[in-house]
Amino acid sequence: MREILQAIVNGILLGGIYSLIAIGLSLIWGVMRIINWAHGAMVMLSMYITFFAYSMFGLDPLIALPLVAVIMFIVGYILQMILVERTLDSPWISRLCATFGLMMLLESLALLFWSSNWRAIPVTYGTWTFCIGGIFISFSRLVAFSLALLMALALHLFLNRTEIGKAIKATAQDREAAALMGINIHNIYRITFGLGLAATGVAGASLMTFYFVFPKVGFPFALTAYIVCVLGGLGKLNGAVLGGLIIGIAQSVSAYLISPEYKMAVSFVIFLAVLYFKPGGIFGGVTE
Amino acid sequence: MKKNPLPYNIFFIIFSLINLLLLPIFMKNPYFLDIAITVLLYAFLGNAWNIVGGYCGQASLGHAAYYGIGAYISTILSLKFGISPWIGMIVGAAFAGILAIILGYPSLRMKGPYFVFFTIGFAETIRVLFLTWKWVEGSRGIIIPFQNNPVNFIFFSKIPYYYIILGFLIIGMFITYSISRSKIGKYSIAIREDETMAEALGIDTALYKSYTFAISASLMAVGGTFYAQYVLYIHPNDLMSLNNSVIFMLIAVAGGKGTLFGPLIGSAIIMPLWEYFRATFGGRFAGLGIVFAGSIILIIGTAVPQGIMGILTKIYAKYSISKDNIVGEEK
Repeated sequence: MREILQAIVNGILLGGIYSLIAIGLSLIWGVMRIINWAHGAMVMLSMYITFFAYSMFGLDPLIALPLVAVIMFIVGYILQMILVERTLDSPWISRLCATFGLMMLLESLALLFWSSNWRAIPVTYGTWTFCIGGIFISFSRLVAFSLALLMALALHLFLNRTEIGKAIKATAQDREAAALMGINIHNIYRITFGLGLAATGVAGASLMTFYFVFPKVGFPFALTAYIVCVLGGLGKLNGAVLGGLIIGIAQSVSAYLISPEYKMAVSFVIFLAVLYFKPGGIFGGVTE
Repeated sequence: MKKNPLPYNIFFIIFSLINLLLLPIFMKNPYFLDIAITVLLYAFLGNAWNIVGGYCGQASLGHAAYYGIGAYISTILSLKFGISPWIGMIVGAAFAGILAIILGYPSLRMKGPYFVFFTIGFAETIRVLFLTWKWVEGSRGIIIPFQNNPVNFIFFSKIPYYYIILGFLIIGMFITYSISRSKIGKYSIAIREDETMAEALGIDTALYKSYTFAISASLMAVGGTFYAQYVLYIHPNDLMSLNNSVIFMLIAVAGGKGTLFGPLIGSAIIMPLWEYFRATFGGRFAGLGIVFAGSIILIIGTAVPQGIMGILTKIYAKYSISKDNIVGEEK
């Protein structure tokens, strides 16, 4: 019983990271109707930035975190400006090619320049754990989880309370109408893409406190994030958070009950069931 | 989308066919022959992907699963039950086709990104299952013992392999050609162009999509058997990785998706380059081959969505006497 409870707690903490990655993906999809296939590569990139901030300037991952988020925002803004924007009106198969090619390019460039060695940051709090009622909680994972919730809350407030946030929501609802109301939709798209990548920046930096980085690290995370997005309903931020927790728990519990090798298979079975029975995600949503 | 592809000149086709048939006589170096076989194999696989991805407009990124299933079924049948891989190939193709219909029917009701997610997830799940499945040797892979015997689909020289894959490719392209002329093909193109409209016109979109999917998956499985018998070693990661699925798509998209000769052109350009990059930069610059592949996908995705065939068609339309039926379309 305690083991299952432990697995559930671990799952929730892991789910926080999934949520964080999925939030960015969901936001980008919700506004632009684009699946960012390079999302995993962006997680990888932000993990490398965090790593180099540590190895070059001795910055702790949690201190480097805001910096990484800002860098990733700028990267997203520029990428949208020079690359993704060009494919907005093309058939969606070429949109897929654009971001998929970007993913392959970034992963192989990372392999080329930074080799396939696994790198980790030896932080002092990496092994801290507390024990509450016999259940062990890792400090760094708890931090990552809290950051995920904070990030979701901040994004929610940003989208609902600020001028730009409202413009983003308006663009998501109706692109043409928003443009007619005087919203510069290209700028909004750039900001959205930047925000989506800033979320991966937060995810990457907090991952670096207990995980290691190598060029292909991002893809399994991104694959899970796609499942999470579909589960929560593409384009829904609260759905992404809850979906992340559900998938995290499912993976962790199935790893305990069946075998760790099958955790991806379990996620895909859940994913398939959701797509089959509730294609709009478990909380409803737009199907396209 | 393009209405008038290049008119397929019959003399041109016969000329290239003769060239391809005579190639092994002049090409004595087995390394180059190996590249030629790789080009033809990937043209065959790209052609199979093209039926679903190009004609029907369903970008599947899970075709590597069918490729692997074909290789595993024929190998297991021949090693454990003593059945010739030639029969195993047909069994594998039939199995992959049936699997594609069973899985395809629900998945093909999904649209756009949902479908891509599903296909990736399906292939990854199959790969993980094969990696952990003890009966098929799991992550150790299967080594096929060398027995030089045509019945076993194993030959000492590379030349028979060359002619076999050339034959497969011709049959595969003929199948694509007949499909594009048939009702299934016309319906598929209608689905690609506007799925809602196709549905409104009374086409059972999921049914026709699963037909094309089944044909495509069967051809993939045939390619998998060829790979297994040619390389004589199969491993889930070699066959079913996402990278493979991407290469199938890349070949069809770079050559020109939805065109008969697109995959052949794409493969003839990409595979030798890929091989060159791997041979030249293999050790020190491990990622450079994929840097190149990624850039091609990126450029094609953003700049030339119609691929090389699209460019050729535009040039042809520009320099031919303008008739009413030739339209150099922009997008």
